[in-house]
Amino acid sequence: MIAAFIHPGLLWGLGLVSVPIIIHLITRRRYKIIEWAAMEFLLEAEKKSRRRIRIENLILLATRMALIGLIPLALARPMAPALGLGWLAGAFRSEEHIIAIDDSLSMAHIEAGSSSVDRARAAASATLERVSGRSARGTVTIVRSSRPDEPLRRGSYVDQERLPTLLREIEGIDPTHTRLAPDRLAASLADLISSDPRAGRTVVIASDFRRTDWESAPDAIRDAFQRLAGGDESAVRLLFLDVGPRDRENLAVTEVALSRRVPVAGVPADIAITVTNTGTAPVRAVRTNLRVGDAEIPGPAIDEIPAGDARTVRIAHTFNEPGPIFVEGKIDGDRLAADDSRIAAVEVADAIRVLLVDGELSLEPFASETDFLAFALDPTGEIASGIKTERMTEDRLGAVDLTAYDMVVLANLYSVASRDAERLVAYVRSGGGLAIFLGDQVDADLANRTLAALLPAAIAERVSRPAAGEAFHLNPSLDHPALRQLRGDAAALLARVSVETFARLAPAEDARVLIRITDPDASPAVVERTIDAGRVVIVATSADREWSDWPRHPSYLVFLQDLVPHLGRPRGTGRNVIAGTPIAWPLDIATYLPQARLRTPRFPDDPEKEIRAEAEGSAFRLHILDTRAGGRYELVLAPRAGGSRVERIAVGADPRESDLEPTTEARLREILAGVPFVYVRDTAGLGVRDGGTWELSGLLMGLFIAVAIFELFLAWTIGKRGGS
Amino acid sequence: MANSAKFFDPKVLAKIGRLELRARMVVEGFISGLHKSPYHGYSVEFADHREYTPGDDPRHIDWKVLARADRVYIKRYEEETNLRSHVLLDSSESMRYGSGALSKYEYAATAAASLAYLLNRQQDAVGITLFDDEVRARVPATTGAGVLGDIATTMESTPPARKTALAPVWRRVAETIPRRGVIIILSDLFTASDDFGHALAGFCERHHEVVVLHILDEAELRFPFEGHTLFKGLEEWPDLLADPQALRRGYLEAIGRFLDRTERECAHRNVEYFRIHTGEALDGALTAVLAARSHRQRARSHRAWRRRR
Repeated sequence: MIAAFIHPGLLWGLGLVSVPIIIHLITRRRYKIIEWAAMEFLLEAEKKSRRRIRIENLILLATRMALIGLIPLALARPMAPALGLGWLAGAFRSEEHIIAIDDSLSMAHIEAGSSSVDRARAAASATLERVSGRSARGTVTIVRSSRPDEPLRRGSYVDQERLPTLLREIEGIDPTHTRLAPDRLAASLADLISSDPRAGRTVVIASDFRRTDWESAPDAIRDAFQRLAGGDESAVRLLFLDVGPRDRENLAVTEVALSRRVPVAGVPADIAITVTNTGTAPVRAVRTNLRVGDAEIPGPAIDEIPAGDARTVRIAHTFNEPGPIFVEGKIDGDRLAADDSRIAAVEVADAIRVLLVDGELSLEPFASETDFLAFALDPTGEIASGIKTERMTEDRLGAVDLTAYDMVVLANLYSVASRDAERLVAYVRSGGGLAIFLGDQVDADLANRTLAALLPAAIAERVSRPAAGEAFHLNPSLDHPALRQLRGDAAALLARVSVETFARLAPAEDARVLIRITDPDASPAVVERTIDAGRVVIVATSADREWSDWPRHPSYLVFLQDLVPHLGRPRGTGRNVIAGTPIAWPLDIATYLPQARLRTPRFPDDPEKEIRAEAEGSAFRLHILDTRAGGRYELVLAPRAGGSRVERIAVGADPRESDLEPTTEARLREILAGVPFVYVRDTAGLGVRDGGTWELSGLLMGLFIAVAIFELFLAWTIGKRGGS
Repeated sequence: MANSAKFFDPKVLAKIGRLELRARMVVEGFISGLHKSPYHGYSVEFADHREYTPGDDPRHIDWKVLARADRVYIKRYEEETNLRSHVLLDSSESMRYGSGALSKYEYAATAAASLAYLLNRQQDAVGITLFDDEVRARVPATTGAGVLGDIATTMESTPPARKTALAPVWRRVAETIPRRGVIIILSDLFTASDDFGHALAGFCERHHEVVVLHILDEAELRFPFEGHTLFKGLEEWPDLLADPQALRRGYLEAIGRFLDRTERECAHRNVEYFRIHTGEALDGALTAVLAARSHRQRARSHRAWRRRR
């Protein structure tokens, strides 16, 4: 009969029912001793009343045990399913409805004039009205999937007085750019329930039940829902209300990216817009648009995007000014307008700073190891490369601050000190780029040992072209950003390069070969490896003309100018986050004041908000906790020297939210095996459960009073009978 | 008047260790007139007349009779009637119980000693028999001055220890008292119901004047106990661990029936019955015996007077 206890921990008090027994046993062991002469009469009295006394004592003992047991039982607040004789119980009824509304991005899809979230809100409102009409003691908890740990309303009584306020709050629930995490939602709901256990709950989850959400982590989802259901259908009734669209056709801008890792002001860059068709039918004539800052740039049209496929268009653009800027790729709006544009925040550099470490410096022109490199990276002329080089000898490597550079080139170094090797490792891991050119000074064994953590390939023996043999050339081996201008017919440019000498390279397992040598072994000429945020390239030949004539060929310049932006430290790290991810923006308080003004995507409709930097160890960070709304976020920093600087952060939706393919009831039952739930598509199927629960505390306290009176009466009666 | 009560207060008497002294205190207090008694000034009892013969003490001539009848008669007193009083004192183990200052035995012994002293002062022969399931000790009835000491010594040296058997013992005692006398029984009479009747019959058949002083402890009459109690039975009765409050009503009913039965048995046999509890003042015991004795005296005088007429 008792379904649950609100405070089950207090049931330990039931152990106290043994106290009367213990007292009885102790009392029996403690007695006075009297020598008695008139024993005949005492025995006669005892014989006559023995049975009666025993029964009276048992009843009294049982009554006292019941009295003690009723207290912890009542304090534990037992709940029971609704009784037909509820009026007799005298306890109030307590039922709760928990309404969880999926406010992920996909819920903004509009079909037949209403969005999925509109339908979810309507269902929630209808439920509230039913609850308010049935019982003044019904309560409701409203939860949004984007913030399941922070219910909009918790345990609110639903009566006619409160109903309008609750309905307004539900109407205020709008879709965010977040993605639904069903396991996290179920876990939060389970926590809500466990903190206030009682029987008689209905949990309604109004969602579009998309496959990418509900089938992404089936084990975690099943475990979380099993915990939510608690194994007792009478306690928690689970209702899945599918408010998703029947039409799943959708186009979405799923990526906006730059071709260069480091966009440089004044240097053309390609901006790639990827459009994905998640529907079941091909889409034709897709128009694209680009917005850079405030400038609108029409993009090329996409002839056709097959179902389930994606197409990327590239739009060339030259950023005029260095600094952070928003780049937005757009397509024409469809039924899910929220994913028809995507914003990226880009930091445009004034130049890519490259440190050239020369292992064989010479005063003669183009005799140093890095002369050709410097010329190729920053050639003279009207068109800037966007690369600024600085050269030094290897003996000064230890004194330089590597973080001031986007890329470091080691050209024909004999050795790198261990300490400098460690610094280089840290530099690369943090995003720096490293290129290693070999030469006759390089000690392969030493390099292999010292730079083992960095080398994309181990350096083996040196190979020279036989005097009478065929010349070695270069051959691009894969499609790579650094080789984008050397593809197709342009690959012949590399074929003209003659390589006299090269070192055999043994690529690491996670490395890839960009260019090969046309020796019989097709030895690697250029090998790349990604190490954390950074990239390393090793070139099997020298940077100068000693081992090859590559520096004399135009492909040298072309390759290097595309290699540097590819290797260079990426700008804008942390500027692009997925909606729902908190942002922790590092702030140099030596340069800036420790507070900033935050502009959210709704600015200027929503005013700026001041936020203060928080210390985390020796660093300071500005925290933006709520990023459920996608779009442009700006932090207006205040430099100590005066003025202001605007940092730009783009928050975008998870591209998986654009896939509207729904899961099925059968698949849901398969994933949630053992979890009983009701699946409905119609709000009419949402019923307010009959009954609910009764809290029995009042009944138990009444019983306690009755038993107490009975105990007093019984004790008095027994005492009176014992008197004369 | 207020001082007289102390002579009979058991709490005061308990402080007097020696029985003889205790008895003297009771009797002195009684006789001294401090105690208001209908028998105030009670002294040696006048029994009847006989004709004067030369040599009789002229102090005993009844001058009223001479004036009336013009004949000389001498007053005869009890001592001249050879009245013998036999005290039967129950010295069984049950008499050892006492909830107050004196146990039943001590109270009964004090009463017995007091009676003996009083009777001895009045020139009555008095003796005592202590019994339990057999005669434990005996002092023959005499009028000698030393009999009180003997009685006291006998009672003090006979601690109550054994079971009770009234009928066989009393019958044997009755056989040793050939002449009619006063039998004063001090006992709690805790014995089988038919045993008491048979026991009394032994004396009644021999036309003794029997006075039963039913000595009980106040706690035995009221049963005021509370709390879990182990009652250890005296005289080999089994023990009982019980809640006294639960048994009180039944016990009082049972002992009430016993007391009624005992009293009826005495009434049936024309035996004077007095119930005394150990919390009462001792003068009650003396008053009871003396009242009975006085009643008998008057009955005898009347019969003798009628014979002479």
